[in-house]
Amino acid sequence: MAVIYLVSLLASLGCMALLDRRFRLVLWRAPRAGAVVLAVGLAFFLAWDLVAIASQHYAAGTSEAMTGIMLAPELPLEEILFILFLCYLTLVLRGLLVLALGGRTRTEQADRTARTDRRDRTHRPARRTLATGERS
Amino acid sequence: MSYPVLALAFLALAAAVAVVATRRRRLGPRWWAVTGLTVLALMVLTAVFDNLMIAADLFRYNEELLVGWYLGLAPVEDFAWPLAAGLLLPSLWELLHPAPASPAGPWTNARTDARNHPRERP
Repeated sequence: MAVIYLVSLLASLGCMALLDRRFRLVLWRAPRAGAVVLAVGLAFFLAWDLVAIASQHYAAGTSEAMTGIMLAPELPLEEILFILFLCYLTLVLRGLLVLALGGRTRTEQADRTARTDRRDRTHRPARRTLATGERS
Repeated sequence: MSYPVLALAFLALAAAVAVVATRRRRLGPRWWAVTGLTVLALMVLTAVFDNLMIAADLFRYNEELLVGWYLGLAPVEDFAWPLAAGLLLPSLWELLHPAPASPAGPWTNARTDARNHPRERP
């Protein structure tokens, strides 16, 4: 199956996009900046690839999981998608780590505090009722 | 040129961008802690998937030019990629994104935010 690697990469990129959209991490947070960062990352790792290929460190494999479409000598089409995936994964992973560690932007934190304050004020009588109910 | 030298050159470039971002955006120890965790997670993923990809013969190395340490099939030099990615991309993000909405927001303290984006603060 010559498209397995290509399809796996596209599916993985799609998963990153879903996480990005759900948690507003990269392209769904700052589309232009996100795209520029990904483009610079792509250029950086592509340059690394090209220098490594030119000095004969890397060579394409002969796996049947690849389409065989070459963009340059020893540089398969799939490599572009792999680099994009690595770059996108890095940003999404970091964004998720910040969320998991309880991080919030200061603005969001302020919003949340304001909301909690309001809720406390609104619901205090209800809580008392509940407490009374439990006792009786 | 041996591959480790080439990898170090690109790593130095990524590290330089990280240093610039740290200075310009005054990124603190917490930003670096999250960056370290990101690199660690990427390295674990590399250890697993690089092995699978090499086993599938997606790419090959000129083994004579490698340092010769392996983690399974993955040459130690390959871990330069997750390290470079973990340093370069979040640093570029810090330098380029509209600052207050950053995922790194909580990792920069209030005083720093005010200094970097005075007009956006009331």
